[in-house]
Amino acid sequence: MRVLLTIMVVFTALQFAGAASADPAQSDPVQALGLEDRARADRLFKMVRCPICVGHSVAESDAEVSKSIRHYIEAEITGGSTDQEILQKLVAAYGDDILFSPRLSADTFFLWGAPLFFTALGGVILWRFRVRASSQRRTS
Amino acid sequence: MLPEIGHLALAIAFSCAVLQGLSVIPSVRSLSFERLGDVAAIAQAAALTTALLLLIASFIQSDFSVLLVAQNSHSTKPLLYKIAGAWGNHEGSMLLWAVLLGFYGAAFALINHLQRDERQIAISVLGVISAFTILFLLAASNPFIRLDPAALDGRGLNPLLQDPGLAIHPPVLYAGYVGFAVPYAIAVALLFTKNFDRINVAEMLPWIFTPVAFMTLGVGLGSWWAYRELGWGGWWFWDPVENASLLPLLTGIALAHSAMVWKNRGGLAHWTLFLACAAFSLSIFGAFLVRSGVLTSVHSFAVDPARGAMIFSFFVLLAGSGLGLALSRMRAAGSVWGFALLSRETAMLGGILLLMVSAATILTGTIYPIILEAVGSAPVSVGAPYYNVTVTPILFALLVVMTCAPLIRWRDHELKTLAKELRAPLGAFVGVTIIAGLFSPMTAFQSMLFGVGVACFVAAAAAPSSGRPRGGYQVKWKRRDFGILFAHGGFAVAAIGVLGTAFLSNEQIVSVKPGDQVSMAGYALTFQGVHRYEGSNFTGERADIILVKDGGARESIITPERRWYPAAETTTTEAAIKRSLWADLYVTIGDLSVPGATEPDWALRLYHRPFISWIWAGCVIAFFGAMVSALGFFGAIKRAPAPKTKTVSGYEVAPAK
Repeated sequence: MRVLLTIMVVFTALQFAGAASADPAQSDPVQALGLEDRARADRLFKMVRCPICVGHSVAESDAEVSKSIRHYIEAEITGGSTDQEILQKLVAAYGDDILFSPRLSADTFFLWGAPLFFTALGGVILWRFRVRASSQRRTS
Repeated sequence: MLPEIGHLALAIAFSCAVLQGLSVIPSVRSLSFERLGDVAAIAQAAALTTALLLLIASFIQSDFSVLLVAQNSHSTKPLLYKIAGAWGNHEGSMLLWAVLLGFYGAAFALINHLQRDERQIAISVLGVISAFTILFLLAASNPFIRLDPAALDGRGLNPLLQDPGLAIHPPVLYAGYVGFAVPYAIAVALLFTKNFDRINVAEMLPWIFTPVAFMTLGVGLGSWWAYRELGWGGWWFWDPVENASLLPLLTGIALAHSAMVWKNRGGLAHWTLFLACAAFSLSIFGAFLVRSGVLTSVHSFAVDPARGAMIFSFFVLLAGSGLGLALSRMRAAGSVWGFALLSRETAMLGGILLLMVSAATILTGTIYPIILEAVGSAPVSVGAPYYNVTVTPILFALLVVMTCAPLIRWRDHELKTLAKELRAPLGAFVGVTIIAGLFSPMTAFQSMLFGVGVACFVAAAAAPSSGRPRGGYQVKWKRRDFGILFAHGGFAVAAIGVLGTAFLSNEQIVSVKPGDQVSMAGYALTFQGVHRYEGSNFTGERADIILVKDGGARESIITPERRWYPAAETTTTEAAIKRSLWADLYVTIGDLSVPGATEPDWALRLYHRPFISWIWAGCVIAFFGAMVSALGFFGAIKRAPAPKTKTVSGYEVAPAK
């Protein structure tokens, strides 16, 4: 809840800042971030799901809520939060499904293990081919 | 009047399909004639085509007394989109699906040299599949329902879908999806009669390669549409519907290669049949995901749980009978074939493994949120970051395996010869890595990956020239070499595109006033301002931007747009794309709402996308490769002698060559 409130406050503040400033380039946080922070923000945008649209990250969405999440992330970066802290706060506000890449937990264990599990399964099946093939060669 | 005839045509098609399905029963056969099923298949295709043409006619005439037309068309819509609008909705696209299935059935009835029992079972299985599809159309998605009183005007087509890409994307993609019905039907027939004779694989091959080709092109077209139309400068979103199309595609490619092993070495017969059943089952599963509403996405049509339940029961029937039959016959199909560790067989098995693991992982990621929700756990989202970590490395490994595999001979291969053959790709790898590392913004690791991509292209290109017993190069190419060259080379070209775009892209958002200049990726862009205009069925805001290459004098104008479609109450972004072989410059506009400012500034989003055209170029090349192979295999069936009338009731173990 506190995060939601922060987002609203930050968003409103940014709007006022925009209204007060004559030069919009100054008010637009897009310009305010340094090159490295800009890349960080872009990376985080792509990890966060737009809460109201389907299948898009906030980087791709023009919905108001996505805009405010973008501004929130930018403000948090400027404020010195780490990536983990920012994502943590978003999860606390919106739930686990705000992240496109689910955290490892008992629930998601099989999800993350899927490639290894299927490779192992396939490997065993392949191995049986090999064994059969070579034993066949030995007997023939 | 026309819609009623269309409705009647559907009913006739349904009767034909039922007759085709029943044609395998001996008493039905003895009542009439032996090729009853074949004739029913052809009649069914004709009836379905009539129905589709009549539906298109209703769309062209803007007959708003037809519910579907009123819901999805509009009198002001351009003709192309009136026609394409016929399949830009759930009912129409299901009809298109049924028509293509009918075409495949009729074509299979005409072109096959299977033995009598197998042919009749396969035709009958196709009849059952068609019957279910048409029943679904008639019962739950009838496109010909009338609206009384007629609407004054239609609601219009989703503006996102008003694009030439849409006109061809669904037909091409569906030609892939439904095409897997034929290998499925043949597989069921062979499993049922326990006929694992190697000559049968030749009957399956063209029906495998054709849908794989169309599926590749269809997925490529979909991605091209998303890139141009969605306005984010992205080309793949790991959207659940995109995933649904990847599942049968990856399985189909695995099937194609498994079938090649069966053809060349006599092994993998049961695997091929299993994969044939899996590929079509996954096609139907994809249709279920898209149309049932369990997953929502841009692609989802009107959602109806009853439809979902119907498709799901059909999926359970297909997958249950096909895969169940395949698994129960696994032991019977044991075959004898020996190969060394370094051999084409190992490479093919490895490639099939990687394809199946990536398909299984994508399937897991796609249905995991549904399963978690069903068991009552906290909901999760599975998106691009998950697939980039899990699936992308597998596909990269696949790239290496697939481009090297054709360099390796069947049975066994000497390491020394392989090393000799790999000299050119290794040289390309070292050269590209060094050049990219020094002269591009790529990191060392990225340069290496990019180097591997280019090396794989070289390996794919060198493959047809290799393969002489003692290594070295041969000059005379055979037709099937072209198939491999284009299919694998196309994949490598697409991979270079993917890697280049991933590592070299950059983007910026700037706010501009008329007269402002921005520079991006070696271009100077001068923003001239925005003017409004009226389109045929929308209001547009078009920005004029003068583009000058740094150091050049020639000016060109690009015009990104924003369009408002009143009929659909939707705004779309029309990106302006300056294309070149090496990179795209992709520009979109949006207003930067700054409250209080008297005149809004415009936000320009600039995306620099190096190598991105290579992705779709690669898909087109791969499509031609698979088509060359498919046509070659069709030719082989035509040249083959007519089948013996003797039926093989038992099974034969294919002899090792």
